[in-house]
Amino acid sequence: MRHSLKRSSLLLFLIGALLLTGCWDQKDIDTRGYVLGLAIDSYPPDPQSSESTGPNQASPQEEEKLEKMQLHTGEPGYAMTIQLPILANADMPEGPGIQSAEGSQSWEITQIGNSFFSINREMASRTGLSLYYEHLQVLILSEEVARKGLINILDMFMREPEMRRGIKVLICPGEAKSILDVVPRIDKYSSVYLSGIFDNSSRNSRMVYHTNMGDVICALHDGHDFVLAKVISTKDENKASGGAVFHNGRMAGWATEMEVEAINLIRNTYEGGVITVDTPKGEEGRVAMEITNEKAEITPIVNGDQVSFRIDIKVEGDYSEDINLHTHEKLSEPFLKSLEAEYEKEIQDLCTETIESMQEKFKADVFQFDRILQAGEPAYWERMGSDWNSIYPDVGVTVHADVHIILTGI
Amino acid sequence: MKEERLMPPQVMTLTACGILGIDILIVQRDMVGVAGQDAWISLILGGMTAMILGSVCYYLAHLYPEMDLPQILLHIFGDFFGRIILLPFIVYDVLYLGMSLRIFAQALKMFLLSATPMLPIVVLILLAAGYAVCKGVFAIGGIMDIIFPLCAVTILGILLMPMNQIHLSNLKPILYKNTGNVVKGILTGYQQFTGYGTIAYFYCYTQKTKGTFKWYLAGLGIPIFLYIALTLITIMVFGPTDIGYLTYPTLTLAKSIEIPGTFLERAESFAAILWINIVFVSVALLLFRTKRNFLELLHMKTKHQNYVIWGIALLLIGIALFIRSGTEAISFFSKIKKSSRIFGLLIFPFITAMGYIKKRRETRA
Amino acid sequence: MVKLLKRRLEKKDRKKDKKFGIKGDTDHLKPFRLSEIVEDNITRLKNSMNNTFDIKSREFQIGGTKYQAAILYIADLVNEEMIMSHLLKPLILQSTAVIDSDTEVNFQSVKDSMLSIGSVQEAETFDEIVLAVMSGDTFLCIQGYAKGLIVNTRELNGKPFAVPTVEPSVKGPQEAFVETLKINLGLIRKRIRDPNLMLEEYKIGRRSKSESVLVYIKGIADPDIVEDLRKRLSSVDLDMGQSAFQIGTLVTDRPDSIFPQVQITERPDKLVVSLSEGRVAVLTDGSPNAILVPVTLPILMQSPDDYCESWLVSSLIRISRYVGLFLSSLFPAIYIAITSYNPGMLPTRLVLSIASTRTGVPFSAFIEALLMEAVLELLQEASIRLPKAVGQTVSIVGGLVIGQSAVQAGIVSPIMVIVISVTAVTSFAIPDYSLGLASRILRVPFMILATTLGSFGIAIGMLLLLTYLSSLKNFGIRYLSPITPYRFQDWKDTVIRAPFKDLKKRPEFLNPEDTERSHSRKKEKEIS
Repeated sequence: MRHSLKRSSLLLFLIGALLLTGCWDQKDIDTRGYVLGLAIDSYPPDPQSSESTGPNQASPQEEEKLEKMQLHTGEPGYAMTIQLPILANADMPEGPGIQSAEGSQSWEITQIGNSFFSINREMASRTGLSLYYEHLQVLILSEEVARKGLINILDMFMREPEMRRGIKVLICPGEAKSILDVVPRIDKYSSVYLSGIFDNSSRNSRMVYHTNMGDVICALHDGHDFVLAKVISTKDENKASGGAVFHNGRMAGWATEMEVEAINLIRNTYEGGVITVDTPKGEEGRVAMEITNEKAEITPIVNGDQVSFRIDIKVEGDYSEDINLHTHEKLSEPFLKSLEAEYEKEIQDLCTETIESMQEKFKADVFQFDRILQAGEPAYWERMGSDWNSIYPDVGVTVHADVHIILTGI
Repeated sequence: MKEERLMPPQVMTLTACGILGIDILIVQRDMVGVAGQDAWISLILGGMTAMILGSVCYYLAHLYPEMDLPQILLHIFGDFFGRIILLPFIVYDVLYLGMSLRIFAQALKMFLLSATPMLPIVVLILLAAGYAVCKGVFAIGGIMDIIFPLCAVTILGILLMPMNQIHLSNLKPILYKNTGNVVKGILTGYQQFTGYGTIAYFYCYTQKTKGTFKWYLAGLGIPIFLYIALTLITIMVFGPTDIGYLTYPTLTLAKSIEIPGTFLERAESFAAILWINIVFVSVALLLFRTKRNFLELLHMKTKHQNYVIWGIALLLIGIALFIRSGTEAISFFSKIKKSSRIFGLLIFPFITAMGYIKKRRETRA
Repeated sequence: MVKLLKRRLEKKDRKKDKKFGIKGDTDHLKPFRLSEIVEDNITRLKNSMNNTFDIKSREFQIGGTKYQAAILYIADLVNEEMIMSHLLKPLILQSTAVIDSDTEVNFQSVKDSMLSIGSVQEAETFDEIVLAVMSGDTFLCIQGYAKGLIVNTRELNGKPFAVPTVEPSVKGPQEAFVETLKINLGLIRKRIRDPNLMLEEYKIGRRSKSESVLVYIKGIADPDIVEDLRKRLSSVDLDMGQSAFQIGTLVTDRPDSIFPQVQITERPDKLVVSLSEGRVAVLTDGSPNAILVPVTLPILMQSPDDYCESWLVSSLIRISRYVGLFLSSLFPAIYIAITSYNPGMLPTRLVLSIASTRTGVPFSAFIEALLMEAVLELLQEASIRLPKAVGQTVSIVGGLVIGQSAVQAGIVSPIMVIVISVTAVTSFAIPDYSLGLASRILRVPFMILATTLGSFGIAIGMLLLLTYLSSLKNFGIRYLSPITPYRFQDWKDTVIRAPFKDLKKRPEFLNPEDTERSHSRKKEKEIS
């Protein structure tokens, strides 16, 4: 018994010694800087785009001094801005009325450099907090940066274990920092507010929802083209509108909201939205349908070296609103049938136009036909896959829509 | 007092825990590296191979129900040749164990404790495992009984949560001009499950009933199923190319899970506990095996076992911290596995065959 | 169809038969009858009740005659004064008065005119007699008659007992042991009228010579455990054997473990249920507690209330108790690990709100928790010491002054107050007080591990604890049984409590000799 007591006390001493030298990673919750949003602009700023930012860009020279850092190699190429919550002010009442410098909820710090990791560490010389990226909500890239190519920007985000795959990657025309500078009306922090917008996927189909870091990285590794969400802002509001089309890892151009809707329809990422058509009666009436269920199937048709695609889109929806429609047969079967036909036509036109525009304007395979070929027609892909970029713009695509109205609302 | 015995269900948990190991963090990368998107087929075939080898192993233990593997070896091949055959087992176990610890510490540093040095991590996990081994086989059985269901449930959770992120097309094309690689992958595949040999070390402590073999098969089947499912889901979520870029695909998979609105929004907390537990059980079982091997090799008495355990632990700390670079450690780990592949495939059938012949001679004499 | 119905009915009938066919514990005594010889009767009866030390008999001659007679009773159950004044006194001293008046002294006259007691019954077979004696009646037999008298000498008002204070229950009986051994044995006897209830007496303490009694049910308790305990009890070397706990630590293998190695209970109902599961108890004179062995962690998590509610309700309550045990030792550690190592696991808004309430607190989370924990322990200790009249003060000072003011003064964050309060509450959800103490002791080591190594530290701590728990053994039974080693049969009454109809078997892990609780058919035993 005494023997074991001696031994266990020795053991306790050893463990204690080991532990007391410890606390290597311990960091109290209030001593971390929670980076909520991150914006990357190119440096020096493009004179054209900085005009659009408006009143809050006037940066005095002293600030510039802080923002520049010494570099080991090369010239500064990027300006990175992070948004940190000011914890001491978190209890203050919020709203647009209280926006004095002392009362603001968040702090946007900009640092200029050419490697993101060194920029990240350089910021430690300015904050006194250790920056923590696990709660990063949005990564905003300016158009200029996106056009230079994504892969060299996202490398740090792939490597750093603190980064999550669910971070929203957004593209903004003009200065990216201005998006973080927004003082939202309904939230304390613009980044949290902004990422919340993308939770509305079942209500609105004109945004790009699959805009996560993880998806982007996968697509980049596999060499697929993709679309990311586009955001625009005013002083106190953000809007997700349309998308940015990427080809070969570089941004190729903007897609409109309607084009995004079509891309969502084709890529099976449509989670709910509204489509409106004129009434088949030819009057001035309009009918809106809320789409509740959507399924698209893409079938490659290979004919020797020729390939074409057939897209079948099955849509189910509810009759939600009509405007200016004066008829008594709203619920009659022939009327609904003709309405369905009208929707089918609308969807087919929308999709066909979008595909054509993607093929011609951007040559970007955002529908990821290449992926379907790779999986479904490996033999063809082996032969022709290397030439896909030149084949794609001329590939024939036919769209068939099949619409069913399920509920009529009344 | 009645003699204490391991219950048949404990055969299942011990076997399953022997198979689960640090490989669970990297199995997908290993397999995809060989067989691409068809890795899961290789893994299924490899799993079947492991089941067969496991049954052979069980038969060997069954032939000598009151002896464990080192004793059986000494019995079949005599004192000298038996020790020579025992040596590769020891070398493999020690190296594998050391490198598992290393990879574990590395993963832990990467995801949880970036500034903590590796030494305390390795020392603490060895301390816990060594303590368990000191307490004997029944205490180990008790620990496994509790940890195994926890691990299985967490792995299932990690499997089911990312269901909304899967793309079936990542699996296609199935077996397109890839059959050769798939067959090659069987060797890599079966090696993920080398823990089946553990049965030969604790069969002598079990209560022998008719159902024991069934529990043993269940113990093999459950981890094999989990590994296959994990590989399938990971391929479907990330695609084979992306997996190649991930050092620890399982951890990345766990990190991609988010459960909004709950208290712990991110599931990797559970994953962290899972992988610490898994490493603990595999280290404890391997340490137990190595202890037994050493005791027989050096012909030592059981009462000196504590010196052996802590001696091995010191050796393992050295091995784990010997290599400085992380990538080198991982490649060394797969080198160990690669070089022992053929040996592992043949050794148990060989021993069993010899044991069978010897047994027949004995009964005749 | 008709056939099916018929078969169904037949089945039902068979079931009914089975139901009525259950044999009571004394039924095997039915074939035995009294003889005409008094000594013979008494020895045979004593044997059939296993000769426990509290069975008293007195042989005497009915005053003034040559009639040999004897009485037999159980000392713990009867009102001895009543026996003396209404049974012995009239028979020995006042019988002359009866003899004087020409009546012959015979069985009938004893029954009719000599016993001044309300209920007197004739009995011939052993089963009635044993049952009656076990219930507190006195048996009287007279030489020459192959029948005897059962005289009601039961303690009518019940003996004084205490109300359970350490282990209160909502719906269970409100009876607790007292300091007198005899009353305690009576409380047990009252609940088990089984002749197989064994009581063995030991004198413990070189100076105090206090009586300790080993209690178990023969035919259920594992004989190995009983034998082991006998050996340990007779080798106890002690100056003063007084508290049950003291004896408890002396009979276990690991007396220095913080986890209770014997169960200490003040509830006779709990003790009786445990006996019927095959466990063994030791009662000591002068101590209001009994110790129960063997003990395992799941047993300590059971409460008598579990058996007073619907099985779904009790199962849920039991699960919440396990959650309580977990949180009580780990919650502060988990809080520290998550906030100071992995705030990424929490939802963003929660992190920001915790962080903002902590701004201005000068201490690290660990020091903060340690402070609050120390205050909590002191408060708990103080509230035991304080007289009831000023007990209110502690709650006011503790709750209001320390909780609220400390937050306002910026010494601790409000979240930490919540964490520590939850911890305090959960530790009281554990039914066994000693286990609750163990969980409190574990809190600080886990906090240290959490603050040095985060969740890895907690995991290592848990693994060490698990190893320790599964290596613990008392009386040959693993401390975590029946959770591990797996005994699926016993899981029905471990973390959950299955409906009674599924609990027909006694817990397997205690190695009971007789495994069935009901529907058992006992072998007829020979009585020598």
